[in-house]
Formats: sequence, C-alpha cells, structure tokens
Amino acid sequence: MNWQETIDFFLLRSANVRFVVLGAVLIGASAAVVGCFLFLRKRALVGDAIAHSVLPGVCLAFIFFQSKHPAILLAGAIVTGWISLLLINWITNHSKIKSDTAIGLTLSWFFGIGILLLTAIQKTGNASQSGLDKFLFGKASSLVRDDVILFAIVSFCLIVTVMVFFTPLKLITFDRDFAISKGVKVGLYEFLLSTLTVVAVATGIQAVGVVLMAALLITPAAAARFWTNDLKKMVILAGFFGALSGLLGSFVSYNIPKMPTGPWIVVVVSTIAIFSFFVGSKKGLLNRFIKQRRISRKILSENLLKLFYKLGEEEQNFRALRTKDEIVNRRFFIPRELQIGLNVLERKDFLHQDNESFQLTDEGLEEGRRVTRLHRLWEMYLNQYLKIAPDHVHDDAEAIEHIITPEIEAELLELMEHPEKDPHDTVIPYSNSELRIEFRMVDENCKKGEN
Amino acid sequence: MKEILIENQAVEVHDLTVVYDRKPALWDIDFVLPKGKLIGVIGPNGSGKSTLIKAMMDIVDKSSGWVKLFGQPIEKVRHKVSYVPQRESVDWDFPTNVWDVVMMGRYGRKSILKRASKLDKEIVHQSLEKVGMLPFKNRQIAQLSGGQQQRVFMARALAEQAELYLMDEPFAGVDAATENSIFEVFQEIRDSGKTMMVVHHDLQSAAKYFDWIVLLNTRLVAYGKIEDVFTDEHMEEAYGGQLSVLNQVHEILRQKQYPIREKQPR
Repeated sequence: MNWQETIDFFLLRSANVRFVVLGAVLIGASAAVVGCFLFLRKRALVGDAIAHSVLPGVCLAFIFFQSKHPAILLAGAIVTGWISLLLINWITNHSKIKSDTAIGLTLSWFFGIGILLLTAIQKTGNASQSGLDKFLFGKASSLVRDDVILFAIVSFCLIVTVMVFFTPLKLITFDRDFAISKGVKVGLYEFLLSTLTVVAVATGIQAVGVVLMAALLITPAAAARFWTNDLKKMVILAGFFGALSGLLGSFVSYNIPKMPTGPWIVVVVSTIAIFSFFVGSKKGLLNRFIKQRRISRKILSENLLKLFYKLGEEEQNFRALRTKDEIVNRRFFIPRELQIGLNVLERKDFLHQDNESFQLTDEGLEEGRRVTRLHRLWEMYLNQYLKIAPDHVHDDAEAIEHIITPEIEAELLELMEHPEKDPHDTVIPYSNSELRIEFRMVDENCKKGEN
Repeated sequence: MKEILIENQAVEVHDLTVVYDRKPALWDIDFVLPKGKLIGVIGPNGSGKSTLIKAMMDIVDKSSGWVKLFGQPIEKVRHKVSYVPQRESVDWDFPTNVWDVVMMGRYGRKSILKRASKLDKEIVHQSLEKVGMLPFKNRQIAQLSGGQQQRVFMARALAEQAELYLMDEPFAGVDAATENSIFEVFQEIRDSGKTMMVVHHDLQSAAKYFDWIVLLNTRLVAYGKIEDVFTDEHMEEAYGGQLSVLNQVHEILRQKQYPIREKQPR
C-alpha cells in the first residue's frame, strides 16, 4: 500500500470503496448508538450473548433457502437472536439460575450449535457456501452493493428509531418504576429496545463477526461515558466512535486482502476507549490525577504557611527569615516536596526568598493565620460538639483545615461565638481585632434583619 | 379489625395479596383512606411497606385483590397519582441533569413523545423553586448529595401536579434541613386538599408527621387516625415479632411451591 492508495481510499475514489466504507460506518454508528442503552442498563453481556446466538440463525437460513442473499441471512440472524434473548429471560424468571449464568449458558449453547452447523455446511462442498465463515470475524471488504444498500437502510432506521423514541428510552433506563407509574408502556419500549439490539447485532456481524460484535455495541458507549455527563451527547459521541472504528477497520480490511475486519475494528475502538479512560474530560484518570495533584499541592503549601505562622507565633516574630533546615527541624517534609512547596508559595507572593532563606509576605502572613485559625476552630468544634478529647482532635483538624470554606468558617464562628482559645488553650488568631468586632456587628445586624 | 366508614375516599385497597418467589410480601390487606390527609405507612423492615405502594401503582403484580383510587382502577387515574420511588432505586451516576429529571414529572403515556411546552417548563421551574433546587437546575445528578437527590425527586413529584402522592421512604438518609423542608412541602400539599401516602421507617418522627397511619407487618395490623393506631397493643403486634404460625405457613408455601391462592374458575 502506498500513500496514493491511502488517499484514494479516504477520498472514496472508487465505487467499491464507497460501498464498503459507507456500510462499515453506518453499521458501526448504529450499533454504538443502540449499545449506549444496553451499557446504561448494565446489560452489556446480553449484547454478547445475542451476538453469538445469531450464528445458528445465519446457518439455518442458508440451509433452508440455499441462498446467501443478505436479507435472508439477516432474517435468520434476527430470529435466533430473539430466541436467545427470550431464553435468557425465561431461565432467569423460572429457575434459581441467576442472569449471569443464564447468559453464559445461552451464549455457549447457541454458539456451539452455530459452529456445528457452519462446519456441516462447509463439509457439503456446496460451492455457494464459501464466505459464510466471514460471519465469525467479519469481512467488511466483501460487502457488495446489494448488501450495503440493505445494511445502510437498516442502520439508518435503527438510528432514526432511537432518535424518535429517545425520551421514553431514557426514562425507562433511568427509572423504570416511575415510568410504569406514569402509564408509559414500559413493556413495549423494552421490546423495542431488545429488537433494536437484535437487529443491530444481526447487521453488525457482517462487518465485525459474531465473536467480536459485543465490542462494537458496548465499547463506544463506555468510551463516550468518559467524555460527557449528558445522555444525548454520549449517544452522539458513541455513534461517532463507532463510525470511526468502522471506517478504519474497513480500511485495513480493504487493503490487506486476507485480513478480517472484526479484530481491526475492535483494536481501533478499544484504543479509543483506553485513551478515553486516561484522558476523558469527565471521568478520565488523567483528570483525576491532575485534580489529586492540585489538592496535594494546596495541602503542602497551606501546611508550610501554617508552619511559618506557628514559628512566628512562638518567637513573636512573624517576619523572621527561615532556612530550610529550620523548617524541617520543626516538621518533616520530603526535601523535594519542600522545594516544590516553597517555589509555589514564592510564585504566589506568599513567601519572599532571600538567599537560602524565606520570609512571610503580608499575604503569606494572612494566609498562614487563616489556616491556623481554621485548624484551631475545627479542634474547638470537635471538642465542644463531638465531645472528642483535646488530645485526639489534632489529626482530624490537620485534614479538615484544608477544606473549610468561608461559609463554613462563618457558621463555625457564629455557632461557637468567636472563641478566643482552642482546646489546647492556644489563642485562635483572627485577622485583627477591628475585623472581629466588625464580624460581630454584621452578625447582630443579620439577626436583627431576620426578626 | 373494625371497618372504618369514610366518606371522601381517596384509596380503597381490597383483600390485596402480593407474593414474591411464593413467599407472601402482603397478605389480605384491606383498608380505606380519606382524602386530604398525610398518611404514614409504618411497619418493621420487610413488612411490605414499599410493596404496598408498588402494588397500588401496578408496578408489582397482585396475587389477588384490587385497588381503587378515587373510586377508579389505577389505569384510569394515573394522571392524578404521583409515585416517588426509593432514592436508592435509581443509578445516580446516570448521565443527565436535575432539570431533565424533574421534567420527567411532566411525561404521560402520550406526551412523552412530544416536546415540552412552555407550561411544562414553567411548572418544572416552579417545582424546583419550591424545594430550593433552582440554583442546581443544570447540575449533573451524579454531583448531588443524598438530601439534594431526594429534593429532586420531590420536585419531580410536584411537577406531576397530582391529587394523590405515594412516596417510598422520602426521609431515608437525608439531612435534618432536607427532612424539614420536605415535611413543609408535604404540609403544603396536604393543606391544598391533596392526599399523601408516605412510607416511613421511624416511629418517633411518624408521630410528629402524620395524621393517619397504616400499620403493616405483612398483614395489616391497624389503620386509622394516628391516636387510634399508636397504641401499645398495636405496636406490640407490629413490632413484637412475627406471628409464628403464619410464618410457618409462609415457609411451607415457599418450600413446597404451593400457590398462595387457588386458581379461580373462569
């Protein structure tokens, strides 16, 4: 393959390529769109069971009609797909077997029969059977014009149906009991959703094959979930991921003749999912990591400021220049972290560096005082309201001092009426005495206003 | 148990029996409730409180008996009845926001396929305002606290503008402030002449909240005005352990897979 061929492929220059790409893209998108609801209903494995269960249907349709016309094979697939779904529900409702086991049983049973039939057909030596095995792993490049027209229509119908019934599908997925209480025909919509799933699978196996079909149903939805908290956006995004993997999968399949499409589609869609898992904007790991790091930086720098304040308090000199050794002697910090913390504080103008020593600025002093105040206020609160002994309140306050918002601080102050000292009899530092009086006046005014 | 004569009936439950896996969850429940009251459904764990209101809404199948709301079967009066499931019954990680959940209160069998009207939006807005959740209307539901989740459910119920409200444990796991504000909303609803049936687990606060009580322990222990129901005798009956013979019969039914009701000839 060279660049020219690649460019030709993506520009859809040849009619054949156009069919293959259109088919794979629509199949990928429609399966992903329907799969979103399976994913949110926590029925992902059911998709896998249906996918494996359409194989005997395809084979039986071929045996009965001696034809590989896509409509006939599709119909066969839909029939056994539906039967497997009914069987899973029947087993779960009428026996002690739980649904995971019922899914496993049905899946392997139907797939076994499917393989049996497929082998039997291949043994007959019927020349027209060649190509049936592509249903195992999919071969998008073998799609011909008639196939694509049919699959395009079916996929298009699937997507339109989901769009039209989006609200009821969302409702029964989120709160089924409430939907029943409103008189919404939950049974009907569940039937619709099951039908959509079976049809999506029956069409999708052309491109991906029965073995890997579940990936095309579920993986785009799982990937999309990392990027958005809105169902509508999630469905659109999943559809896009599905289409993209269909496109790239058919590209490989088209250019490397013996290569099945299914695995390649799955490789693409899984790569998207893994990528989303790490960098997804809503629930991605990277996002969490960044948040965690921001939090630990905040804790580190607040602890340092508090230390500066305490040392100043002890020596009655808040503006003293202090070396790193002085700091570490009082409270241990990992040297690398200490350096990071000091850098952050200097950048924020909370500390001023002079040679190897550091000094609080006005803002730093105020901030250090604030953190110390929150620490001691919380100790006081624990002691007074949770009846925790004074020698047990420190560790709790160490953690909580970083998350107390100004609103909670105001509430604490009001509740305990601006305490002068903490349980260890240390003075609770307020910004300055005038401000404290102001605080009280504001409080009193508020109370007057309420009355 | 003596029959209570009630003129303005909101709810009539007749010989209701519900069975889960052949074990009765409710056995021969029979009562009538008046309009315009705040009614608590009380009983120990596993006494069938939630099952009762689910059976009334036709969410679980009845083995026998029937329910009439405002003298009609539920199918005819769904638009007049609001059901609030237990908060834990839904996945709060679902990708949607507060506004959309409350808008669900405006859905009906047909209107679910239509766009929300200006009136619908107006009502959703007011409902959110009433429970103090308007500032959170665009918030993802995953980011709500337990109390806020319950307020959202309450707003959805208000948006239904029903005549009868059936609520499953609205006070479970909420903070004191939310509990108070929910109770205020309840009183407001009751004072406008509507009826509320509320499943509740805490006896102490039940005495404070409700006008009427339905006391359950799989069977109906008592129902009526709170002062008539909250007697030592009834409490002992409901909370003093289950009736052992009845329990044994239930167990036999389940183990031997007998039907709880014989099939009626048609």
